[in-house]
Amino acid sequence: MDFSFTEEQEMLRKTARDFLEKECPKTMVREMAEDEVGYSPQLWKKMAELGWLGLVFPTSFGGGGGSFLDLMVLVEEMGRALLPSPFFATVILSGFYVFEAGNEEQKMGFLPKVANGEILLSLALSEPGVEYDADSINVRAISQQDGYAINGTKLFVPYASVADHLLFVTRTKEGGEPGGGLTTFIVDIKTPGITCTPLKTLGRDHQCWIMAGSR
Amino acid sequence: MDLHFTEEQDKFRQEVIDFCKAERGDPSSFSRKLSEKGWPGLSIPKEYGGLGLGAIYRVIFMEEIAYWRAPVAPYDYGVTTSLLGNICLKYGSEEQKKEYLPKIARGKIFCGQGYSEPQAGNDLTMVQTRAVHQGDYYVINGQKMWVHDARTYKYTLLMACTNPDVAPEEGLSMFIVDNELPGVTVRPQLAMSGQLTPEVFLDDVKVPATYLLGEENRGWDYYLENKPFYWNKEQGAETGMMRRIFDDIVRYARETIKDGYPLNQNPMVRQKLAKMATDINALRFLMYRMAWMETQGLDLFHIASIARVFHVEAWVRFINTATQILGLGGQLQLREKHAPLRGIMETFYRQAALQLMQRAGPSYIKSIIATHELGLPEAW
Repeated sequence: MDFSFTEEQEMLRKTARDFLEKECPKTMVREMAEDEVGYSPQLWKKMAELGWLGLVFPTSFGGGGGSFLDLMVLVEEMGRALLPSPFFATVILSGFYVFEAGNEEQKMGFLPKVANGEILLSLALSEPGVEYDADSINVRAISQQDGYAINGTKLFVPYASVADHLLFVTRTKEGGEPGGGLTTFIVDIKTPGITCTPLKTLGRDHQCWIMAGSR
Repeated sequence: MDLHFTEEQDKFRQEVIDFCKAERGDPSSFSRKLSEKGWPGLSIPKEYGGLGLGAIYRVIFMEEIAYWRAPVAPYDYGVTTSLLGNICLKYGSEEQKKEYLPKIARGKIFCGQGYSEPQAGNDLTMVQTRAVHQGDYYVINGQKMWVHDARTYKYTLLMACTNPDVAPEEGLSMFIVDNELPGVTVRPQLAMSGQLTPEVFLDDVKVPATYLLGEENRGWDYYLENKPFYWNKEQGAETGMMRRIFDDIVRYARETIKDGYPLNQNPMVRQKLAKMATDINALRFLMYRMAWMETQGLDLFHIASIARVFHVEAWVRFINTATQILGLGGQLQLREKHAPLRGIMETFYRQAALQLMQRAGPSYIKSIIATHELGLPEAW
């Protein structure tokens, strides 16, 4: 058993702490709690340049080839600085999802752009009357000639108001195991029929309400 | 022992309920009509323009206007009657009683609490605000924190030091300060509860000596002796809110289907609902017992401490549990389309958290109980 951090991880922690102390003062945190956008695109750009956004993706997808533990070190420092950003939504909720479940083309299409800060993603999972289990997913995606038609409401989608694409978890098959009939689509948020409304929540943490009546 | 309400008390409760149901739709006239009933002066004696009905009626009233979410802050009446009203009645001069009590009874004036300071939170012996007697006036300098809405309340009941040369408990006095006097500056602060709890700055404020409440240097005694009445008032309001939230949550649990069953068949939810009901009932017993003891002229200090600890802990636990039952939707604020119970729990959640930070929170009171009630040696 070895609970120690590597020298590289200690360096990453120090770099992250110094950087965020300078770039993410409390005044900025307070501003962002009230801000509609909810994060600083300039700071996001700098985080991309530091290699943070693609830290754990393989180098073949524009990432840094880091480990999950590297990511923990980084995220812990982000928490320490109270950094308001779509990092969790884009990299962890969605980037990992694409990396785990996407095909080669999707990984090549999205992960390098996440890593260089070009696009933001978010995960549209929860629905009204939510529970965290698979059978509470009721938004239907119905196969049509040239694609799928998705209809329904998703709640608590973090930072969707600034996302370019949503990972939309839908039901495509009834019956059987609840988790068996679910399919996830990568949906351009500008697709006609998608509306995104910011939610006012206890945590003021930029969650959104997504309505889809689209393809 | 008889734990029933009298017939008159039941009738009074019904009258308040009927009034709230009939009038709460019109916030603009609600306060006026309520004042016409004389209810702000429920526990003020008849000779000073009140109804002279005593403590149990006061608690019934607070409970019901809170339950029916009447368009007044129950605190507005409670704070004024239980602070200025009660202290003035017990310790004020005859002139002061004649001046303030009839106005309080008719809902004409509101008075906030000006006790805390930046350096004096739980421990009011640290109060630094100075009042210096000069001829017909006291000249007051200092700063107060967490003053009940001093923007809209006309008066602040102010604790100030009138003798710095003795032990703090023997050198504090209470003043009725008009918030519009020259030298008074009110700076609003928005608390996490959504309420405004302003800072008040006093800069060479000349307060006529007639506004010294009761006797000079007795302020600490008044403060201590009045605590039970103030807490009992809060318990009335919060018990009313708890009963209402409970009814709402029970309905929600009946109407909400999860995993194919109504939520009220979920064993975890049933445990939570039963616990909530237990807390409400226990708190009501403590609260009414305390009110009854007040009507009998008994010493309230012991029961007040016990009730205060239970009240605050039960209230916070209750709100937390209720919010959990609503699941993720519980975080949605008022007027959000998907918010269960129209988002009201999000507001209560923030208000409840605040209770733990207030002066005389449960930890502080428990340390008092340990020393004064249990006779334990002083803590190290």
